Amino acid sequence: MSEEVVKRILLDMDRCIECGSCSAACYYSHGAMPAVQSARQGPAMLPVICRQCKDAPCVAACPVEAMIRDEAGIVRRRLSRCIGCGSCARACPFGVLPNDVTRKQIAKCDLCADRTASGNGAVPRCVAACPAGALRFADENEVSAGNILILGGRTTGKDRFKRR
Amino acid sequence: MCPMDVVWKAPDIPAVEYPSEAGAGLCPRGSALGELLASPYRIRGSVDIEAAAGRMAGGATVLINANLPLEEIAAAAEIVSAWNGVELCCVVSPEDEQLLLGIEAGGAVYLADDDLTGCDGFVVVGDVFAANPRCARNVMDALAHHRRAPLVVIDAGGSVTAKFATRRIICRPGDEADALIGDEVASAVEGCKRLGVIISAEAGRGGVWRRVGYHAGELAKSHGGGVSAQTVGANALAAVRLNKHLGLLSPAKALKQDNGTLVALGVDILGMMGWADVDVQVAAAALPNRTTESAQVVLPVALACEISGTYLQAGTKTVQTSALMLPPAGVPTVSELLRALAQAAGANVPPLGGDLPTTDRVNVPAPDITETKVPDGRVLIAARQAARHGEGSLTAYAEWQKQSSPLPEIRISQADAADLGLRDLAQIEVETESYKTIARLRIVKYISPGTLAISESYPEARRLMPYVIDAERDAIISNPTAVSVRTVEPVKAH
Repeated sequence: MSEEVVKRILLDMDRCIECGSCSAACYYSHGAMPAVQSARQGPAMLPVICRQCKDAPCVAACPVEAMIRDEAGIVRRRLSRCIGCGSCARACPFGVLPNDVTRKQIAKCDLCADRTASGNGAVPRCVAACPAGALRFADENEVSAGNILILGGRTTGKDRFKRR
Repeated sequence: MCPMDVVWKAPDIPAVEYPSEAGAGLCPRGSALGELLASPYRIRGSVDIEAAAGRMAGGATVLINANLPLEEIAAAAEIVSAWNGVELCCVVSPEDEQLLLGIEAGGAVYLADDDLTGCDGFVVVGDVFAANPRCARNVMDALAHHRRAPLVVIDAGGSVTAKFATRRIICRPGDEADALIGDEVASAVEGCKRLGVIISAEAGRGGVWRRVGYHAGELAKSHGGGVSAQTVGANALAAVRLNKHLGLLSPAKALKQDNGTLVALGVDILGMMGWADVDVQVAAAALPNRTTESAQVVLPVALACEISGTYLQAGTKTVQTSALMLPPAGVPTVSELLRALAQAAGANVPPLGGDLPTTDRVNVPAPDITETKVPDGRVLIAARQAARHGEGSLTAYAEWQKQSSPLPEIRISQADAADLGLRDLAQIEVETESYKTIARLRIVKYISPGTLAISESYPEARRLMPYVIDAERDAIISNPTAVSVRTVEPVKAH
């Protein structure tokens, strides 16, 4: 079993135009349970996406082993086991897990494993849908080669909207 | 055109799939198409041609949507030319029509989205990133390549695009053309050798867009660049040109004249114009809208994405698109519907010719200077929204859109919000002389005090500032409107 995922979804805040394409793509592709949410960051509404933690608190907190790390290292939720107790949502240090109070289940990003597992250059749907190129699906080497400063899964400059 | 595929999640549940190629992208409007194609609200049933044709017996004006392939528009024009007493108009968003006529008059080169990557500076008017999110990537790529390239944003509505500007020109509604030819823009783009002028024409600025298009062309030509118009419909430029080349009615003439019955095929004219008291006798639509609600005869019709055909891009390039899927059984396209109506009315309709009509640039005179009347006090203007399309009659049925933005968003400055005692994200009642509705307040930084901007992709928002016909200039315009707002408490569920 892999320890953590190789590639993660990164957000370049210098490029995000707040169009919501990522969230819509996730909604329409995951049975109306979008794992990509929008959250206010200062004057902007930016997407909030699971960072696929190395030591994932949501996995440790889940009482029914619905939240697991799979063979590819992806932290994912087994829908049939989820009882919607919200333990993972409360354990998440970044607040990215939305607790659906209506359906009593947790939406969780699985990096669109149905597409990306084959590895042939496919990217998660939110990344494919991003019209501005703000979302990237990259590994550590690509990040360092691209001179991208990472802050908690986001790329950022000193000023949120000032071009570097 | 946005690349997308349709996959079948179940035998009768289509969904949009996203190509992984770099730079593809698909906005929320495109994502919603998969759901709309199989919407349970789809207008189906028998096509009552006799009833519709009977209402057109004394003459009619037929309105069709500009967001159709060239083949469909050309076929409709051919059918109507053989049908006495019936005239045709290809309806383009009023602001887009004026903007495109202005660009045609200015003689500038049109830039496709891909061409923007080669520009070394930009002047942007309006919220172009909301109008067409895909053009943002090309602008960002160009800025990444030319690190000191200017991005000048002229905007009255507190747009998202303004956040990315190297220079912001916050103007009063209707002053966009003057700002474009002002010294501030000239000095900001002084060294540019290939300037891209990108425009999104939004409502509530009066009759300014024709001048904006004209001056944008002049500015772009003087810096070796071109103009990119981010229109509501993909074939807006073709429609504007065909209206002239084929002698079709302009939207202003079509809606002003009294030529018997008004027939709207695939266009929600009442929702688009914010009108409630216009008598549209026959309406065809894929999904119910304001026009079908008031029409006497309602017919089904195919969506534009269910028809393959040719679209005009960037002035000279044509793009072939294939249908995402076929229309439901028994649902005709606009030209099929029109042909059936003409035959039922006894017109001798010829078989369709195979050639496409010319879509060359049209000769248009330079625009007059028009002054936008801005009332005293706080005024309301319209703003584009990335999540919803046009007047919102289609995307109103999309679930993500309904959940993420159930109410129109109204932008306001910090100073105005403080003055009125309104807090961010409050639910408010917006009232103008013509209408009142509920909206969600959003305090933004880059909007001038005294101006409020509401999302235009809601029919109820459009009724706040209904369009008026300027017969003298053959245009349909919407002016900034005096507005008042107050907080309302949302109804609590028990």
